[in-house]
Amino acid sequence: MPTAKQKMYQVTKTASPNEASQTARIDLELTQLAAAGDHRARRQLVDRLYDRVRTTVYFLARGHQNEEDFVQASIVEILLSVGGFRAQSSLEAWADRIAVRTTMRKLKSMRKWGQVVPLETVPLPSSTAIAEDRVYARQINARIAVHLQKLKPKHTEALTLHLVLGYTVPEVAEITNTKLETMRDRLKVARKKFRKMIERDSTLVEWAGKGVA
Amino acid sequence: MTNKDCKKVHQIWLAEGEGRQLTLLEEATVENHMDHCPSCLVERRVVQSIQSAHITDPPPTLDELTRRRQMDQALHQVAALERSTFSGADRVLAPNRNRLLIGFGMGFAAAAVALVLGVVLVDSRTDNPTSQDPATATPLSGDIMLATGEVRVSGVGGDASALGRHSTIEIDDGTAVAQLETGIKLRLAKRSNLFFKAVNRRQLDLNLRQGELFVHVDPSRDGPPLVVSTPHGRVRVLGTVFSVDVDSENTVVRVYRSSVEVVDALGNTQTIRQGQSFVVGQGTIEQIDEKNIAAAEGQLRMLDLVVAPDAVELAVSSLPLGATLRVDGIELGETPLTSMVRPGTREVVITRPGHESVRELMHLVPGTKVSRMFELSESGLPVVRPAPRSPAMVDRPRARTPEDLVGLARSHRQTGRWKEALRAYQHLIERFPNSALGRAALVSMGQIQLERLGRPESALRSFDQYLRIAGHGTLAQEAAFGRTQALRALGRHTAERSSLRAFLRDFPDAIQVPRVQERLDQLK
Repeated sequence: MPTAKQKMYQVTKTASPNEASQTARIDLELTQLAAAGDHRARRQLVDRLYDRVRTTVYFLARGHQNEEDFVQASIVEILLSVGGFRAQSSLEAWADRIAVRTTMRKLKSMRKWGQVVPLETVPLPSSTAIAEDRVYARQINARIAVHLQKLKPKHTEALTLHLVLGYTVPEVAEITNTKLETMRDRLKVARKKFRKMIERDSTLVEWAGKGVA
Repeated sequence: MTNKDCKKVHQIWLAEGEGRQLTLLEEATVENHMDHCPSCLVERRVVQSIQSAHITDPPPTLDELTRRRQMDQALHQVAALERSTFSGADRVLAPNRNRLLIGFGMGFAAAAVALVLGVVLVDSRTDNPTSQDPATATPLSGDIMLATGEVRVSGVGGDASALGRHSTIEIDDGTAVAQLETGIKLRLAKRSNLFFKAVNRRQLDLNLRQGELFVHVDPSRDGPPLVVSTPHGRVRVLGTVFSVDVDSENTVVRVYRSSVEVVDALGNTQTIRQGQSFVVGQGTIEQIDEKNIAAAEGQLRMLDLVVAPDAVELAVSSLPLGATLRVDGIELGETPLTSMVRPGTREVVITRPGHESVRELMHLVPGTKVSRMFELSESGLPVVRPAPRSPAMVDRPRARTPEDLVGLARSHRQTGRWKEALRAYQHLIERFPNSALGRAALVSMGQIQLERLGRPESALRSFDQYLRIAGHGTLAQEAAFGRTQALRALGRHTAERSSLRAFLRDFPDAIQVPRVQERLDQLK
């Protein structure tokens, strides 16, 4: 059963080979123009990728005071790296990878300066009466995101692309330019470590228990 | 439950993650395992939460104007970075440039690390002044972008608009806006004195002796950390938007975005975060009030208008002098005034109490200079005073100017209080129907009615009203696009199709064009 996010990207995934090569050719032209400084091409590129980058950053750094800056930095990074796009994956997948890496890097550098909101400061309501509340969902997801950020960058990247953005394992391998077997192993290890973190978080365990009940 | 069973379930999940459809047996195995293994159950719930995060907790929708502004900022940042990175022949050949861009992209992380290291270097140098000589570092430059009133600049090399090491900006009564090469925008208010102590690739140290300095630091900039020192302490910038206000007794730091680190004269360090103000030396942190936040929004808009790539020099004078100049509703200062302004079609309005206002739409083309002298005729009417407040207004917020009301509406929007925001816009339109902000409020109101309150009919009326009274105003594109959206929501497909075609005809370069085209195709 594909996730809603997978459905969101269906256009890219279900295109016929002809359509796919046509799209790749157009994307390549667009990125080459953007790399050469064509203002309209750049604007078109940013317009196309902006909402997607924002969603990705929002999950990784939601509620962070620099969230907007991360989106900005990701877009800037995409534009600066656009000359390196080789159409080996879709433009969106390529941009996802840059957005994840940029945000992770920013978060990591800020963690050194003690600017990341610590886990303890995300209070969780204890009552199940407000379990439906969006605020509650936001807090839970923020908590999960903090755990994801604690993993090694390569693990965070793989899990984010796979779980958050809904890419299949072979697609994640392709996007990150990694061998499929390596990616399988990486995801196994990442998930194992992630699971351990979750098990140690009593709030998440309690929430999951209530949700199931 | 054994570890072996957990492994088996994980293998099934991995297979599912590879895009394979699970068999009934595999599904049953997983479900059976869930009944007995709390750990896997929790893991599955967490993963489901991640996968549905966009439904349970999507990012807040951005209105079209904010989205476009943020996109613009990113594009300008890239242009500024490239200008500071490439020079001469490096810009000529696209393939070479591509390689450079890739290299630069890969080096971005190194730049971030360098930024962090830069902070350390500054500190160590402060403690040991002989360790490095700032004068030997590669110098950075800056420019005055706007000057109005009595502004004295001791520039570099005899050029009063060029800023560098040991430059000073002194303002008695007026305003100045400056930009530094590394993505820093500064606005200096009246009775201010700013000394550029060190401006180079290793150190960026400004000394605010008195007055008020408003700063926007580009978060993606490639340069040394900014330090603003005052008689009462030092402010080290970790973030992006803040102000420093110095008088004879205190230094007040207000942080509007991100955070700054303040070191007082005794060496005590305090991190001030977004939305907080701090009086250096007194040690108390307070929340910034709405008035200051609204003022900061105004200053940001001003900086965005004035410090822009390819900005055009606009010199405006008037008879009599001292008239207020607004460009696209943003107050730049009093005449005579010289300012750089973002290119494009701009609405310039000159007002002076007791005189007829003058409005002109200017098309500012990059690479040109525009100079205007406006002779203001007396209106023959007494100076306009604020209308007496009706009883219904008594309990309204203390918003007296269009800017106040826009600030109020914006603060409501930021907190998701859409109906209150709508009321603020309505109030603005009622009180200042002929102001640029009053007209712009129609578009903002339409967007709220359409996207937030589910009132497409009202939204359509708002957009139509804007297009009727402002015609080809600066927000015509947004209004026309909003109109198509409202018609779509109302199910009026024939009218929607016509409005979509009209949009493509009138705004062929608009960012909404792909969406409009897509919708037209759907309607076919």
